[in-house]
Amino acid sequence: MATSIADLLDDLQGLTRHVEQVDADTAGQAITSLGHLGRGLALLADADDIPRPIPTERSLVLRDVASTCIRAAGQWPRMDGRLPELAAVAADVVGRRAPRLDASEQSLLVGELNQVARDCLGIAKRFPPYAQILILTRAERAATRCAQVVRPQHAAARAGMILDEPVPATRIGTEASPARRMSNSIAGLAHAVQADARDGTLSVYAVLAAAAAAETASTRADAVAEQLNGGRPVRRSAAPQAWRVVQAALLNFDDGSRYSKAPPSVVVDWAVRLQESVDALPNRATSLAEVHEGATAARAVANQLPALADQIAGAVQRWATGGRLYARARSLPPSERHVPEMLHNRVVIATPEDVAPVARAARVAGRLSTALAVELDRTAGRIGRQPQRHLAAALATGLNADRLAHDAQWAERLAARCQPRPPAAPTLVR
Amino acid sequence: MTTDRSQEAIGVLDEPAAWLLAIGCADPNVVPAAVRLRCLKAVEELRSAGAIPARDLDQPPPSDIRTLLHEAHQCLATLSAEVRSEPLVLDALRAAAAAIEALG
Repeated sequence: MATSIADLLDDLQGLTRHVEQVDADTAGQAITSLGHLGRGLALLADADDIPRPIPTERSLVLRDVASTCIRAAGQWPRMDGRLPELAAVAADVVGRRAPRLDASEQSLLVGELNQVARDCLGIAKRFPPYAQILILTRAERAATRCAQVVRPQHAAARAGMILDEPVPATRIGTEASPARRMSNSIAGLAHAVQADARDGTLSVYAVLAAAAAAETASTRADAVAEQLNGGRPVRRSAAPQAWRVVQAALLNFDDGSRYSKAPPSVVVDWAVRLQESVDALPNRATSLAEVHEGATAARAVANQLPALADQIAGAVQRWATGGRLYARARSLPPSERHVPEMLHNRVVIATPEDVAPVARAARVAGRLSTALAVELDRTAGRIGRQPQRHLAAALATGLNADRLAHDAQWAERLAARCQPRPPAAPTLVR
Repeated sequence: MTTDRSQEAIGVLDEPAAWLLAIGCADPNVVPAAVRLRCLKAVEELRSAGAIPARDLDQPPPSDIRTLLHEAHQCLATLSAEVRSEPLVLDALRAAAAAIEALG
């Protein structure tokens, strides 16, 4: 099941705030957790360190709390339990994201981890033999100081989206419900597209697969939105049509990746998993729990589609700027640049202007998917839950309602126009 | 696929890979995403195994998806046991079978 930093922090806070009696085991687990949280804070401090002649107060405070927590935990034997397990995962997840965080996101995560560290220290010190131990008192002071110095900055509302970034579980079997697998697969797909786009390994065919999976997922989310509207029909979002237009526009291009001997694309793998999980969903829910789970999963899916569309639009523009795409001149928008090639129907290297239809289709798919996510969020208080509160709030803020009707008409018109050309001869030749 | 495998052995993957790619790149309004995705997955596996799937950007869409898909699957299923036992080829075969199932 996909999780997120917000889910992990919620679970951690749930555990630390509902401890009634503290014995040696509970206190030991809290101290082990403190070590993991210190490690997470240290990774954030490492990413924060821009070489300066004199370190900032913020940097010193952050390093102090991280090292004190780690030192304190080193004084006790490691204890197993749910709390240390979750703290370790939270530290790993935060640590992996640390190098690419902006200052606002970093401050937010420091604040969150530091708060859990303070809660853990509170638990440990409630165990009478540990109440006066110096290293714990020092860690407590360092954490208090950190809370005073490192404050989330003004852009914290947007920074909150980092808390909702989904973290896919790599091992999730078919025994999990299709809705859970769907949430996990969209997380995996979003993560894989982002990673490949960052590394420059994203291919046209991987994007094609991602867009096809997005089409399937948005069709399902659209149907759920209609069901959740109390049986009253809602206007279909046209997001699936827009995703089809993205694919139809992209089909004109190739990037030569089919000559590569690189391992199979992880993006394609997650896209297929998303498709499989949607295929496995029952057409009619058999229990109320299934309705709630399906609604939550539909929100998890819809919330990720706008970012996926952004990634695709950005990747296509980068490919064209880098001269990585080629296409038949006749399949490109009319342009004076390609007149001779068009006359002879030659293959040309695509320019950023040539890929504008793909980028535009991706942006429209993003806006229509945003509308779908906002529509699903509207019913979050009644059926299921909103798994990504910060992200949903940011999507609602960014929704441009005035453009939606125009975007939907555009997508429906274009999707209808993507009709097949006359069929080919029965056999395919190389 | 192992590097010492003859070019000929790898070459037999090119044709089914090209057919599957043609279906994977078929019109989204005609071929369901469930089918196209599985075909793209099969192509990924075959490409990684050494196949070079041909694609003509000017090629009109294949007329009979069902026949082409069955032919691609059949082509993979009748490869020599040595080639077919490669994990990547096996995965491609499974993906092609899933595409047939999705086509109904």
